[in-house]
Amino acid sequence: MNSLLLNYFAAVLMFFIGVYTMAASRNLIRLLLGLEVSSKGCMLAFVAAASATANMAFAQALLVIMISVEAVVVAVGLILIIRAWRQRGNVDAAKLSDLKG
Amino acid sequence: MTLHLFLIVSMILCSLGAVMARRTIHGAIFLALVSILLAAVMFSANAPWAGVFELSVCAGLITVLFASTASMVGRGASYSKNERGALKWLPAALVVFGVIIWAVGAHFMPVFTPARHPGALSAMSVGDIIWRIRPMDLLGQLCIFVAGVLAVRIILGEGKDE
Repeated sequence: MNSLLLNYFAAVLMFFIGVYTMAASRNLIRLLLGLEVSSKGCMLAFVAAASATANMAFAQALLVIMISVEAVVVAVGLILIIRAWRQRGNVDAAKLSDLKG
Repeated sequence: MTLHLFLIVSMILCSLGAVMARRTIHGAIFLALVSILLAAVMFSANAPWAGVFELSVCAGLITVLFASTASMVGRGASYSKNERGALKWLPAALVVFGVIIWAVGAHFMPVFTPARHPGALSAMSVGDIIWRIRPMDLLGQLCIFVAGVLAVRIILGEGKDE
């Protein structure tokens, strides 16, 4: 088993863990944790592909941007969660139905 | 190869721990471990800049944000009964999915194995690529930072008004 296959396999599994959590969980913090895990899977796939094609410098430049965007997404998501918790006292996504038509 | 296998297996187990931990603060700690292991994989793949960013931002900043939110929300962040029921099937679903992907992926692996064609960019440094080749990415990144800061200010400001 070569390391490229192993990296791809692990990346797919991590992406699955994140997507399953986002589908199954109603807790907003856990949804964000799932998003983070699937994002880590994407990064691992990115590193594996860059390593296989010997384009690591270019991949690093893109990974740095990806990481900083991810930090902003998490910060804004957590602020929204804190706001929802202040208003309602819980972080259950199913109970956030103010915009329901 | 043994170290790489250890890193990858630990990363998958910590990912499972991050989403299945009973308390979200433990989930945040597991997520930090995933980031540390991913940074180690990046270092071993000769990507030190990405590894340093992963360590400092993901294992540092994002973990602090998750931990402070989890402690602020407290018991409100615990499992609901339905959620626990759905998430307890995750390891079994992961094994089934892994077996399917292993069988299918091994068949299609030659398609996903790219040829090594480094090109002109491989001779450049990371800094040169960021500043010379992709300066518009930096502009976009700056816009996202500003949007994030504005969003945080506005959302927190709304809370003060009420």
